Amino acid sequence: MRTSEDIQDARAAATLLQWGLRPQARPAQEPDYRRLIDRYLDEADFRNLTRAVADGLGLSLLDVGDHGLVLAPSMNSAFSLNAADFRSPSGYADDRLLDGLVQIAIATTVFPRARDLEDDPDLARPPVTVSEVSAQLKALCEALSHANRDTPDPEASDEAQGLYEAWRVYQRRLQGASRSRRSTKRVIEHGLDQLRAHGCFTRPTGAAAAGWRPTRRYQILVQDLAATRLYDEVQRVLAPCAGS
Amino acid sequence: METPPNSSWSESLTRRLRVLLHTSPLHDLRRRFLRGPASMRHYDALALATRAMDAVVDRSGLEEEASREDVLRVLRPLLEAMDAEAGVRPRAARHAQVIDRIIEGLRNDADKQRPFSAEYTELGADGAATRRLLEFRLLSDTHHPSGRTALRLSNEAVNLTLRLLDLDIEDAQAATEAVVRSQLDRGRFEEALQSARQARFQSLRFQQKVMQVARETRRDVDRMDWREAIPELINDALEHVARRLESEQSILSVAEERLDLLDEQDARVAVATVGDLIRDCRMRHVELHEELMKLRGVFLDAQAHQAFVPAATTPLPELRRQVLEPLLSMGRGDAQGVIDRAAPALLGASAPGLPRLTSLVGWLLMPRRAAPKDCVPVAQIDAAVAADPPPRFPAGVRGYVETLLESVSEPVSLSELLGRARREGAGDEVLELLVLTTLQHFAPDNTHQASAPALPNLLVRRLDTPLMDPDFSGDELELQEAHRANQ
Repeated sequence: MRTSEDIQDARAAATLLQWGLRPQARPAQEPDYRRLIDRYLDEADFRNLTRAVADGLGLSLLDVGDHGLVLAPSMNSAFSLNAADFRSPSGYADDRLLDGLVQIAIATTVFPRARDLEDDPDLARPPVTVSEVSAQLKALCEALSHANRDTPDPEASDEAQGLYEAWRVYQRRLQGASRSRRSTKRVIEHGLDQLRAHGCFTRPTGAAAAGWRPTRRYQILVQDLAATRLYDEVQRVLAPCAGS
Repeated sequence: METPPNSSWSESLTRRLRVLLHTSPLHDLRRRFLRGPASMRHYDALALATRAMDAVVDRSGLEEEASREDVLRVLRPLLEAMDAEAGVRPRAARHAQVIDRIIEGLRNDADKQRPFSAEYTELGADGAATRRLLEFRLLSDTHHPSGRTALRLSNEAVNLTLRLLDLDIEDAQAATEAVVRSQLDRGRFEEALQSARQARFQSLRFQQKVMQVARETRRDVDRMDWREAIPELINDALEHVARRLESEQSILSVAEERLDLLDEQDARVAVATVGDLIRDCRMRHVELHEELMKLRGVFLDAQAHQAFVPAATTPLPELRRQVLEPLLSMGRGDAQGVIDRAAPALLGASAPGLPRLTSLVGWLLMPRRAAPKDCVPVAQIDAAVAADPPPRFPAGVRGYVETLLESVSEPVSLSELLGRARREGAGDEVLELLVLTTLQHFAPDNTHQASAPALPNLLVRRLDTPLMDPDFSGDELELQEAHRANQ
């Protein structure tokens, strides 16, 4: 039988997770959040309970400490963002793909080398700019375009079947008007803006400030989870091709 | 026959070599300043960098860790002194630039804030030379719990700053505290102050060591030796804290005793500062105690958490080559699939909004808002010239000046006209308007209709003599009727 104490504990665990779902909240400024974090770190039972509740909700705790909770959604979790949350439906089928490519290019710009992913997440990584992300994607597309210069252009039916390569989609947008609302730079800006809204980037102001700075939360998300998940997914798609 | 130990090289030589290499970024910084813009060559970058590191270590671990502005504030007197010595006027903008260059240099901004790397050669036991690569950081931006970033020194840099490169920190601390007490006893207050500062640095070093163990454990419990080394460290540290708290208490009582007996102001200040520093040490030790008490929990937590996480079978990927590039060369259908499954992890968990009945009702009852449109019809503006602003001068004044100017037929100087108006008892407003109207005729502003000269018949030209008037100054102007001037 559950005692009222158990119920209070479950409530406290759920409250802690609720704080974790507010990426802008900081234990340093919220005494209740601070108290629950301390309790999590100090009491093994409360830790296990919180983890069990998180697990049931489809969340995993990547980091708990002075900076607060970093929660990651498991696959298909109700707390996972989908493309519709990211951008209001636009009628442009390419937008979803481009938004995703830009997100990955941003992570690549923040962590250019494999060993950067091993760095202490407490070290603030240098800010990135829209031009850096754009240059990264542009260079890759140009290299792919160069490598494919001898292959015939895709057939008209390829596009409908989704066989048209992703780099061609990006390059097509790249050739569009640079000041258009859908230009690649605007897509990158939108991506960074979304990341900022989710507590993953800040935009420092002041004389010495330039670009967008990744937060500790973002660094942990990429280092502890997203980088390997992306890699595994890419491998999963490539594996049958390699076998054939 | 047994090989004799290698006499041409020893481990301590390697250690010294590594220590020397850690100073290379500081020398590079100094060289860059000497070769840099002429306006900055008189600053000693080495002195500034050393002081900057000292300023950062001074604040690390505190609630308000050092920011660029703090470093600037601490270094300003030094910068001003260097300016004075070189006979250069101090300028805030230049000082800010110098500080940025110092911070950028220590943070290795030139190489995207990656660790500094230096190669060195050491001799192995078999006498063979091996080239090794040493990587280290000096200064980094770190995430502060408040959400800002703060500057923090690496352990190597803390060691450099504290000149404790080859010492066991615990012993060093005990020694320093003993020194403080003996200096206080012997009345050498200035020296005691320096030593108390050292003692505080060492408390900080110890705290950082314990916090690093906690951090590493949270990341990977297997990386730390929790079977022997860490429990030993915790026990040692707890004993250390107990001893230090006792010793600090005794220093504090000596300091308070001295303070009561001293008359000399300078010595009183020094002893009071020693007291403050030691009190700060105490605070750090109490915090350290708290950290130590949590450390076992961190271990158990990490162990429970990491035991169920399958060990990563793949090493960390290089995102550009192993993720972005293959993704771009995939068909868009496959690429979209990868993105849909994996990219949400980049943004973390986000709470889906649930409708609240009360807000829903309110929202439903809201008057309909016009939907935003992609293109907005632009209404033609009925453009008309706005009415002239109310005149600056009253009608009486304007009428008087107009009459006065209309009366001009023969060439007359502005000084003369002003004199004439004054004699007729005209006020300041009349004189002012007279000068303005004359100027308007001299150089009419044709861009605005309202400012077109009121009297088209008046011609004004400049004379080479100055205006003779008690209230107005400038060149003398001569006024005459236009058709007369043309004759």
